[in-house]
Amino acid sequence: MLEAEKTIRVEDLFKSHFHQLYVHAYGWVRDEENAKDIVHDAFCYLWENYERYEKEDNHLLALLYTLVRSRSIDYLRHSQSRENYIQEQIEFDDSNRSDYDDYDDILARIMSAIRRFPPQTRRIFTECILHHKSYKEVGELLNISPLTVKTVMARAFKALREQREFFIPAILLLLAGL
Amino acid sequence: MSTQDEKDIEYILRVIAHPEMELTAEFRMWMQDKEHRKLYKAAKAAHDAIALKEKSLPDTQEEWQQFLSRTQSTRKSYHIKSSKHTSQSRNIHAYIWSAAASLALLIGFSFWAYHQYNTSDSIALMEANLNPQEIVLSSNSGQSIVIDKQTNTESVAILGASISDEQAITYKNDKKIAEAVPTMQTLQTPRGKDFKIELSDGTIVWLNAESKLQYPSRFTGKERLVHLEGEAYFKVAKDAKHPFIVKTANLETRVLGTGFNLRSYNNAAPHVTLVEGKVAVKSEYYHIMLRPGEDARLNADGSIQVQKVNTQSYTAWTEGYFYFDNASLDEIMKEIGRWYNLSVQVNKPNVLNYHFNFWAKRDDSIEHVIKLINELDKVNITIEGNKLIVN
Repeated sequence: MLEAEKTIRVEDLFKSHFHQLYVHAYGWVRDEENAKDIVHDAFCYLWENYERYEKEDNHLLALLYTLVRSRSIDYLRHSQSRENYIQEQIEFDDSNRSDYDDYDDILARIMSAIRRFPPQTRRIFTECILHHKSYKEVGELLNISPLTVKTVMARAFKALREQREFFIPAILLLLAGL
Repeated sequence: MSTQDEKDIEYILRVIAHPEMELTAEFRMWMQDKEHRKLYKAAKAAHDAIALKEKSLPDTQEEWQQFLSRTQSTRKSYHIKSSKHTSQSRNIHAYIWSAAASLALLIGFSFWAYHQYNTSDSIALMEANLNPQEIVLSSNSGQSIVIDKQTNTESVAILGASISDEQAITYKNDKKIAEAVPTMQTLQTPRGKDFKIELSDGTIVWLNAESKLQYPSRFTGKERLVHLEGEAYFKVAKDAKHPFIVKTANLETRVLGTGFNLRSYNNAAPHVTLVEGKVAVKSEYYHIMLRPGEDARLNADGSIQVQKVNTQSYTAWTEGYFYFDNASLDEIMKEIGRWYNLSVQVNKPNVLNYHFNFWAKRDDSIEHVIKLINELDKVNITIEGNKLIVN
């Protein structure tokens, strides 16, 4: 394998997915610097072990996601009580990569679904999921009842899930047509 | 919309808000349901999607430049501080660099080994060590003593230990130790001798030949930390509040109370073999838990390979045996050369890949052990002075 090829491939992944991996890590570690470190660390691993994975070109992104996940969970474990740490170890396991095989796809679809949400739904969704506010807090903030927040969230999630199920048969039909 | 759905959504929102919930058994149970896993994935993706829109994001170009300079700079090894006060991000950095450094070393070694075994010329597998072969106990105060039959109790007591029998020292139940300021001690075994140490917490360590154990005369603080070079079998005294940690050049093994063998000589891949209990093994990139009867081997590429083994073959030395269960001649000759302190010359290096099942007593003469190997009829080994020649 040419070193140049590896650089091109890794650079491509890095530039197209650094942000996605960064926010994914951030979801667990809640700290910008540490989230960045974790993503760098995942790419470092890929860089050092590229020969082992290059043949599975399609799964490199899934590998990066899996690395980010296991490092983030490790980070959480370390910041939790040190004594419980040993019982909670999980093996970093290549086979878990399949968890992330379709993640990029799901993310893209969910992004476009959220874009189509009415502004109020989007606001509620953002407050609940990104700012971790409770239904009660969001209700107070937007001057609506917590029950409404609950209903909106349930509907929003339903829309996200339907989006997904609708999409897959559509793709299958297209493929069948070919 | 069912109330169950609403409950699941509330639960997943709590998990997103408190990610440490993912470490709980409750969460893992919850995730066993396929629908729950889908919901979790959707919620994570929703989080990421919103974060991508709302958060300020790092400059990818800048990050890439940083990454490049990092992968291309000369690697340095940093000491990893175990202090809780160092920030996590520092720890992660130090981790990457020291990992990279040890990885580079390992790869360097395997490369060298590879070249050696492919030449048709004879090679020197082991070199006899011509220095006097003695068991030495030393402390960080600068004192050191040789332990042999003539060593008297008082000279060892100065270092805070007591001799329990000819082949063991103990730090347990000693009033002096309990009162004195703990000192770091180092016990070093030569080729051809092993030794037993009972640490202040009651943990018993069998130190194999040509090995070095560093430990405090008394454990203080939250962790019981020792450093090992070479090979030792640990029977760790149970104390869930104070994890027992063994560090070697490239592995960290954490224990709560257990029996395991750790082998980390500098001319072979490190192994951790668990006999009973539970240990966690950590290398540069991996964390794994071992179950009894499993052996973890650190490969040259930094990965850890776990396999079920006959643990007896890894611990038989503690009972005075060489026990090789489908071991390569390479391993066998290194072990024998180490124990009898002999150089090993191999005339046809390809024979090192032969695998054997082989038993012998370590207090047998070298002549007898070599006779046993020759009887397997695969190789012919001769002894010339302090050198074994493999034909």
